[in-house]
Amino acid sequence: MLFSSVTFLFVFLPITMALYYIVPQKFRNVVMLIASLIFYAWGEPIYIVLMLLSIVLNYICGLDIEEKQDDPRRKKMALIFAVVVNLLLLGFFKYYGFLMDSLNAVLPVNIPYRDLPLPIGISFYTFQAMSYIIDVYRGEAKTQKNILYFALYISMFPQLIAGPIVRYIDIEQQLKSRVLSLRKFGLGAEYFIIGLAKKVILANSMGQIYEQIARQQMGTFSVLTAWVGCISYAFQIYFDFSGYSDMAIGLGKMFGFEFRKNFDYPYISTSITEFWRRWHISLSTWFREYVYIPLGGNRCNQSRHIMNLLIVWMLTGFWHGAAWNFLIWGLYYGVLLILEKYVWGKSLMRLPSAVQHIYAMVLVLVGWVFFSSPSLGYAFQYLGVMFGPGASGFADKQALFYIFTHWLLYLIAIAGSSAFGINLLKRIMSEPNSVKVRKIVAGVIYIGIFLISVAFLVTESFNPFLYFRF
Amino acid sequence: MIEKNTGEFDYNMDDIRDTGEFDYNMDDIRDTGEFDYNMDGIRDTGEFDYNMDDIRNTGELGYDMQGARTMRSSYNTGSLHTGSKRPGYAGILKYVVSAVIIAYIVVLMIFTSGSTKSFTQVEKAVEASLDTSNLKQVDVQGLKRYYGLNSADYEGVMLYSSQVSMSTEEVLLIKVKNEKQVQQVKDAVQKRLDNRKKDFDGYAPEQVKLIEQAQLSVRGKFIFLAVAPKAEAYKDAFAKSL
Repeated sequence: MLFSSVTFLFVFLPITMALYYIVPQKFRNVVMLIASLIFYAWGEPIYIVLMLLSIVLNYICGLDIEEKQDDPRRKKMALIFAVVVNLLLLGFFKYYGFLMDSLNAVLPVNIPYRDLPLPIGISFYTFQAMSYIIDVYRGEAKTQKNILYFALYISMFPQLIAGPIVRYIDIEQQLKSRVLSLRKFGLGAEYFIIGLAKKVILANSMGQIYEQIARQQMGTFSVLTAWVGCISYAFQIYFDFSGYSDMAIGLGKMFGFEFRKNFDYPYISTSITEFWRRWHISLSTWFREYVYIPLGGNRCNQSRHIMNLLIVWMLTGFWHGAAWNFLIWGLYYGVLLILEKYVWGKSLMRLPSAVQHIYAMVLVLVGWVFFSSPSLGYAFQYLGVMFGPGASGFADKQALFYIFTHWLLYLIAIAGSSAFGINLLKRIMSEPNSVKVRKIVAGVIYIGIFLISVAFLVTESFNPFLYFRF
Repeated sequence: MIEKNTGEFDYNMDDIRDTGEFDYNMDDIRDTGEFDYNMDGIRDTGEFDYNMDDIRNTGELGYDMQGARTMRSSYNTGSLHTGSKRPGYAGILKYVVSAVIIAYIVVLMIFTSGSTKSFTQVEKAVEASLDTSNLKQVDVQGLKRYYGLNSADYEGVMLYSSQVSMSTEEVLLIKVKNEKQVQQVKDAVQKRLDNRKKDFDGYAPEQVKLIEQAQLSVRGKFIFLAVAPKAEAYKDAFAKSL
């Protein structure tokens, strides 16, 4: 089930919320757990078993680590077992086909293999499980004795399918006690509505433009069209993913949970370093905490530090998908970050801020070409068009067509990529002097946005979700 | 006898080497490195020992000041882990669950995995099972017309449809080129089924029933749909051919 679907918005969510608020407090976790399992099983009737088995296994491994806490060596073995099994599961379901394809490309023989479809959300819930195991091992979190609470942590429907990747220590206390209030509910609803609008109105529209442009043969479209396509994709993936994250955070709030924000207006960054502090924060936090720091982070000599960065970024890229272009995308950012840290970081800061913004945006856009392309070859061809060699002219009617017919969309997208958009809304809502009028204005605006989103949702057949295949 | 200064600070000037750490109560016994508020030379437990009974406060306000645990809560054990000594069940259980997972994966591989066969091999096997009295093969334009899909996007397409307008019989077999297309095709199939159902709703309830009992099977890169009285038999032929 997707958040941006009629079933979820008008059937699943109202029923779940009603039940959640009606039942006594001690049953709330159970209600949420059952709802989450239904939510997952709706789209994955077979793989729900896998998730349940993963939950049971990680629960037991948590207990196992606790049992062995007095014996450092056995404790470490228990940790290694848990982490390895989780990684094997993820690796098998996600990367097995890629591995076989790559082997077949290299070897003289062609090994046939039977492939399995990818379980939805496996990258997210496996990482959350490992976050729990490692936090328990480090003594930063207590073992969760209640398997239902643990299952809820792993499978909670707001963050199950597409994140944010919630660290166990962030939610440990909230599983036991959290506050529900009308105010929190309202805030959550605001987040949710904004997220839905981002996804359904902005992301889907941008996605359509990108698809139309990218579908064409190389060499038939101009430089400007290629850039329009790339920019559209950049907007699509941002609004898609941050919209979903907003919905997840909003839903969390409505159920009393507080998640950390996952995006912080990444497109206003002035450097790649800053970009990755603002994009998919929960993922980079996870890799920093559980891979980068254990490897030594930056508390080692320079060459080791560079190696650590390259490893972490290759893995980050690879996490996104079992394909070479994702690995290259990750490596691309790893190299850029190293260069910013060791070569031109300081000089960069002395440049005028407009230049810094352009620098960051261009590099990010080039990165997206790798991310969005079905193959490396395609990526390089597309870049070729963007930078001249492969294009048919600098600008053509098509580019102007897209810009002139979608100028409002792009304007809204630009406003929404920085705090400007939301601040404008807030300004409008706080204009009136009386509290009552302010409430009405806010209500009208948010309900209006919601209804427009639903209209888009119902009429559009194009509703992909890019981060869905993780 | 005067001992040599040890080269370290000798604050209390007794010519005995200070232990290198603060020796607040100046008893020449090394402070434990933690505050020793009640100055009894015994290490405070590292947490505030308000009632100064040298028993570790449990971390929560221990009102009874008798050093006994006031509340039965997990916090009181003083360690982050609620560990009492449990027997080592978890150590064994984790292997059991891992084995269950492996068994589950094996079952998955047998029943839901894709295939090493080529499209033509599977196609032939499925075709052989079809009852062609009603079903006739439709060319690739049919895929576009009925499902909105471009057959050129996929590795193989086989579409059989009923020639009679009052019949919803249809069999579709597609082999996609990559995983991303699977969802796309599934969505198109679902849409087709919904549309057909709408077309026949109210007119021909038996046809609607056929649609509701349609057999859809996704095996790796193969997607199979059968709307027919013998749909299950067709699906079995498909599954066997993989």
